[in-house]
Amino acid sequence: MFYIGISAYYHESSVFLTDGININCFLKEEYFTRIKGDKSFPKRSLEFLIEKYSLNEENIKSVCFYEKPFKSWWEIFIYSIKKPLENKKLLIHHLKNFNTGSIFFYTHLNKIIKISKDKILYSSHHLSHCLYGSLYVKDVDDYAFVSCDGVGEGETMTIYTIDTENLIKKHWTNFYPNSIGLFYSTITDFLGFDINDGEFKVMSLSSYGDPVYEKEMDQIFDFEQLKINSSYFEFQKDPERSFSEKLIKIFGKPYLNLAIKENFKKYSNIASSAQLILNKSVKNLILKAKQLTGKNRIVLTGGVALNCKMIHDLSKQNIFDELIVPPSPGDSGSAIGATNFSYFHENNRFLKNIGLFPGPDKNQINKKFQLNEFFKKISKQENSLETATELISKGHILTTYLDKTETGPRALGNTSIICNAKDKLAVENLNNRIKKREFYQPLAPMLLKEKFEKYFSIQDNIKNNLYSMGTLCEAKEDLKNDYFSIIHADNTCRAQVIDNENSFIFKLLKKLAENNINIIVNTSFNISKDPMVFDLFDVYTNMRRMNIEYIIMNEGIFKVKEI
Amino acid sequence: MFLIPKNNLKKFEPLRCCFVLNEFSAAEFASALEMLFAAKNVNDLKLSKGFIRHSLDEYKHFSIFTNIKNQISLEHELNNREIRFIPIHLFAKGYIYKDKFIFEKKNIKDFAIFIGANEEIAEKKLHNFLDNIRKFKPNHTKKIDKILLDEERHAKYSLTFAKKNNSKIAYFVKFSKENLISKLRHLYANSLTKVSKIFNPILYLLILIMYLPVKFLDLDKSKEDNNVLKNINPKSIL
Repeated sequence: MFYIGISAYYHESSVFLTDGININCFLKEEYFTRIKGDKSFPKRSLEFLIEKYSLNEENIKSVCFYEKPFKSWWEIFIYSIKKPLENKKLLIHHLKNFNTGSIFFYTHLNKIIKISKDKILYSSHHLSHCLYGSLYVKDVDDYAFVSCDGVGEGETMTIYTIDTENLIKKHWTNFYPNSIGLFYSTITDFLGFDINDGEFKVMSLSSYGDPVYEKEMDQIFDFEQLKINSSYFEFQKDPERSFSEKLIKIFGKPYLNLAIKENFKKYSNIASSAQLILNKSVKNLILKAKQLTGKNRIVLTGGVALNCKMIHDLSKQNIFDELIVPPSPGDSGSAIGATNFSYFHENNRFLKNIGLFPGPDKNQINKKFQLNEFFKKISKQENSLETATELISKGHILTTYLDKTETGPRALGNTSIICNAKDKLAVENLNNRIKKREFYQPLAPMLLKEKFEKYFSIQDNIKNNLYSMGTLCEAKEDLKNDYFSIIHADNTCRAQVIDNENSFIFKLLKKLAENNINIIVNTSFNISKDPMVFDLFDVYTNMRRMNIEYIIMNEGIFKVKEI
Repeated sequence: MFLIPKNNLKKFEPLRCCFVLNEFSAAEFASALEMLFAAKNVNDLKLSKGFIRHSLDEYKHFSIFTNIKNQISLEHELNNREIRFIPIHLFAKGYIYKDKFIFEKKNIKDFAIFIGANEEIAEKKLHNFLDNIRKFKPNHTKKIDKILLDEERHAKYSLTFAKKNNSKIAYFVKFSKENLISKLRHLYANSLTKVSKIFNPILYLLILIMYLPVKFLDLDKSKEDNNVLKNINPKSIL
């Protein structure tokens, strides 16, 4: 019997299927539509699962949506209607979207597969975050589960615990519009980046600035009370605008073009100040969690947890024994949390750890694709390591398309673009020309766990996040000497360690070490504005668009053909 | 290309120009996605390769328009929301249907006519826009000329395929239908704001009516819950 969890309508939609034993399959709708951040009902993902697992009413135990649809709509409505004049635009927008939102989840689902209403369950937004996070720790009762995002069902921050009897307690919650996530998104918008997509750019930019606007930011978001000063914001009034004239009065003209030098310093100072407020707020949230629950170990979920600079900064303040961020802490990972909720509902126990790669196996995705028509095999499977080592050593940029797919927004080696981190030219080429990233966005290194301490330092309390790129770490002298181009302005890197001896990447790193290359650059296999590649058609078009010649697959190494 | 805004650039307005360029980018991107989807689903290797080539061309056009937009916006210090390309807006702007790709809605013969007709329309719109670019930003003319040639080739290829696989009458009827639908789609898109002007006050009136009863609702919001799983009703949407 299968359990299905769905997250949709607000952020990138996703589906997770499990039998609770050994079958797991996580999909995002954007994989199929090729539209990054696609939040529509995950019709194609479900169709994929229906075909692959021959799903029908009989073999589906339950389908669980990750939040309470009406509550989610209602909470924003009830808040806004209290000031109908002020919030007119948002209210009209909210009413217009009534019939396109999650309230019609069951209707949308029924168009794809007929399932009786008895099998439909609804989890709760922050509970889904919490139950997703719980999959990544051994003893759940050792941890406080802190969830922090924009808004879900009118709540913005929540603290839970789970005891050994699986009793879940909610200790505290914060309500809309007091949201540190929405505060950070507003600054993202002000700086000229897209909300829900550009937050990581603000984080990168913050390393170039100084928090000179700390006082001003304090007025905007009270990090002690975790309260927003509404007069600086418009997101609660107008769907088209996130900040008010009052914010412009403090910081000046918004949406400046950062490619213009004079704008850069000022904007990086704003980013740095916002980052500081974020750090202080989440620090206070964690202290609150500790005080209320008595736990010194924290699992942090929600979109805010993706801010790996914050995780690194918090680790140095000795406020917790351990902090865990699961690989996909945002709403898309909540499809897994919702599945965990429904699994518990049926079995009175939770699912077990699903690992870093619960996506479908690449071989299952590409039944129709005629590989030899689009790619030329240049190396057999048994020689892949030697060939890949040779190509990387020579300065080539390679793509990988191996085994199972990752869950989170970060590629962890199976669907990546890699190159020699020592090769300055290759790194620059990959960052600027191929990925078309801004100069202030660094690339992430990947290395064997055993080599980590030679090049990096990190607090023990966040070490476990190194497997999923969930945190930054600091560069040591050895790194500066040989791998300068991957170090960020603040002397940090978002390193990923590998210790799975069976993975191709592990073996490749071992082989490369023989050639004195201990670190490779790893970035997700996609172009800016595109989701990660999913099938081999995407692989082919992406490689042609990026002008990358070589790819490592399970079957060997291939070179792109002209067609 | 499916939906391009009107452009009446009598004098050079950088924001308006970037806006139009952004819409062209969106249309090219959407077209690339349609072609990629067709390549994945057609049961003929030759056609699949053709669709991929077409898709790669459209992606290239997308990059060209985006680069020109970026250069102009840099020159004029612009970075407004409305000139940013946000993929998910393709749905709301009508460049991609929410439920299905065109290839799912039409058979291959009709799909070819659709592509051909729309490529021709896009080519005409691009010609008009190019006149403005030629006048005010001549250094970008060559790049857009190249796109025009590609669009012409795409239209010709698609329509030749469609003529081969449709009778003369069927071709004429379908081609005219596609042209008409395209015009209606533009009309619809351009009148959305006018429609809002009629419906928004009605919705607002509804909001004001709801305001009074809701004002007196005193809903309890609990900050704590000692047994979340027991207290949550998994069947409820509330």
